[in-house]
Amino acid sequence: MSDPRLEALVREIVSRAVARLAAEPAPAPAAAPAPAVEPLKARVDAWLGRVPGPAAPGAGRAWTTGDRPSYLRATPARLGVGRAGCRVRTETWLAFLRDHAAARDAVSSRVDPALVERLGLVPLRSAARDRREFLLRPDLGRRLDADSAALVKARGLRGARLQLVVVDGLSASALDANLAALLGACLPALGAEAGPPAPGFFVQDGRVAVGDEVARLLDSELLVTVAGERPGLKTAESLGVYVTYFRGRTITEAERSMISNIHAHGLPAEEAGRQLAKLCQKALATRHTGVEVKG
Amino acid sequence: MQLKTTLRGRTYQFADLKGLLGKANEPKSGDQLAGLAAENATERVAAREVLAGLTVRALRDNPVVPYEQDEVTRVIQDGLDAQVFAEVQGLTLAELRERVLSPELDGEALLRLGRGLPSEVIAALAKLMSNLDLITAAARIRVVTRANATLGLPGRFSVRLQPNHPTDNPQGILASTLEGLSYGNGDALIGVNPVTDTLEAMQRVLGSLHELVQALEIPTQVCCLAHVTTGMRALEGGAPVDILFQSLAGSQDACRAFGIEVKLLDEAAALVAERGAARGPNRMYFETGQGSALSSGGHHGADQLTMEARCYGLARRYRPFMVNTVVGFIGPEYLHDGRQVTRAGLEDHFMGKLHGLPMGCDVCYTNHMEADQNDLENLAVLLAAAGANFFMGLPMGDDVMLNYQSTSFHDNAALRELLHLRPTPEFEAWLERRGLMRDGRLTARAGDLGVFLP
Repeated sequence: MSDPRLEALVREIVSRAVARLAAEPAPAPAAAPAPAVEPLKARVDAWLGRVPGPAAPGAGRAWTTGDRPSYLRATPARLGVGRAGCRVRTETWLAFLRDHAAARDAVSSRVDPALVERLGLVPLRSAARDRREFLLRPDLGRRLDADSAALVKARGLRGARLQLVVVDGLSASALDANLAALLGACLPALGAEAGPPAPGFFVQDGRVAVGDEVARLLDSELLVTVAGERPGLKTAESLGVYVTYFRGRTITEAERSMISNIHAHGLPAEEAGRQLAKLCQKALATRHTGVEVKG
Repeated sequence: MQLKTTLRGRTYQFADLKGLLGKANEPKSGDQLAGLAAENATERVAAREVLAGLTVRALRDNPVVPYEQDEVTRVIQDGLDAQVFAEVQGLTLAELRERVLSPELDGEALLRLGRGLPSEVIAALAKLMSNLDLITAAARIRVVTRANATLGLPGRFSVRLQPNHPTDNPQGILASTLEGLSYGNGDALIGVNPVTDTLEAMQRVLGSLHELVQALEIPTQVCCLAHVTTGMRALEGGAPVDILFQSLAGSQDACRAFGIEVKLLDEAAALVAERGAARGPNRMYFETGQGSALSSGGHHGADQLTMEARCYGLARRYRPFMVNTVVGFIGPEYLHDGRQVTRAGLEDHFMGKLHGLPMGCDVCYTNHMEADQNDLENLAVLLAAAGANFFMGLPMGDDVMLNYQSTSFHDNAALRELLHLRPTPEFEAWLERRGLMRDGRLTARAGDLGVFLP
């Protein structure tokens, strides 16, 4: 189509669209009076608490003192990667594929059984029969299978002050990488308030809420659930921890306190472990977890 | 209403219209999760045969959530163009499908038709259409909106820059924004998902982006995607809010789970019409996505495609600047793999356009679903060919805050070259002034944030 024809078409469509906007009966709220026009710059200045200055510098004039390296350092986003035509360069493409592969493999991975044994966790299964069913049926990942429920009653400590449940969630790799360091820093720092150590559990194909079933079966006071988080490209090894004051309550998500983004490039596992110990002590002292009602 | 058919000697009887609508869908894990999917391929086609024989009137008379019980239903039913509805109420869905695909109806005629169709009818149409049906019908409909710049003109394809940052660091957000601008992204919107939904975060994000937009004289819109109530508080405090954002759902209950109701949205629309910073007249940005109603237990036994259509029925009340279906974020329990995401993206775009909405799409995938970069790129080409108004634009498509992958700066530039599409006229002129675009193509210096830095 030639340019003048295209232009005419564009003009026609715009005018028709604008006419339609004007002609159609507006919903009641849109019938508000036209705003008093206020120069945007003045409004932004006022809002930001700036002294109104001269007009913003135009094209070609420097508007920031920051240089390219300082901007690139300010974000983990994949910037400054160049291009091959409109596509990405080979090196950056392969790096992207590497990170996606790590994330995919983390989702389908299984926790190292030696780790579960070394940490003294009792292995359990959720009601999901396999990884595919776990992904497609969130409800099954939130329940124990019958044998596991029986095992909890047989091996668990009733009425423990603090009950630990570990679930693989969406990344077993995250447990392999960070669980030992997290617990290693947390458990010694808990002190006597946490009571005598109760056997912890590990639930394969488990979601966070499956821990609630363990706490209900054992009438635990405080539940700590550690879960592998959904992998991103930045890391496939991120853990989340949920602390729930359980006794006498029906639990909703808002009643959990959480620490997330636990991995080598986020919140390091040792530091997270110390934070977790403090969180548990506070929860036991105040008999409360979760968000306070916002003012 | 005849809800029975016989195929290869077997009779298929459907309990009610809602059940029929579910079974007529392409396979989706979310419908299976809800227990609404067809048991096999033959039952699926049986459901479609029955659906094709029903009239527009029958679907209007049987909304999936009762009128008395649900304000979204009331918005859909009460907002219909009575004249148009009267003209088409006697058509069967089979006839309506052919009318929509007929070249005798141009884009304007399709928009007029859509104003008389309840969301359930538009959903039913999508169920009877193949992927290429959905593309060719949608491609004829242009929905043009304006805030500061004009979105949706023929031959134009725009981008919402999504410069998210894991801690809302202003310089980090600016870094991604600058790189995106250098690729010609950001003409639809520069829109940040804040880490925390607070007034403070909103002011920090909007403040630094407005400074940038003014300093570089960029003809675009800025938005912080906090809850609409946060946006309203910011507006009341005098913040320069161009566009108000909110996620929508397809029933009153599901909307309540998002903390919204029609009255609140009406107030928001009135507030931003009065005090919004953009020129207008369109000043709202909605996001939707199949599966959200089921996820919050507000689906009322209806399938996820029909519930998604009802989001659009609600959205069109507010003449938004942009509507974005976030199609691959929700997880494999609703859309299992690349094939299901592709289908959902094409359905949503068609349904939104026939509702008269300025549809774009967050073409994306998470790492726990059976999809990869190739699936994303395939759907991006299909939707760009279908005339989508906008996509997201992220550095290498990697959202370092929300942990999923969407379309990249590179992808959007490549789609424009491939399909001869250009940014909004205002933004294209700006790119030319900056030496970043010539004759609709990126110049050699385009593609690095350094072009804006000392």
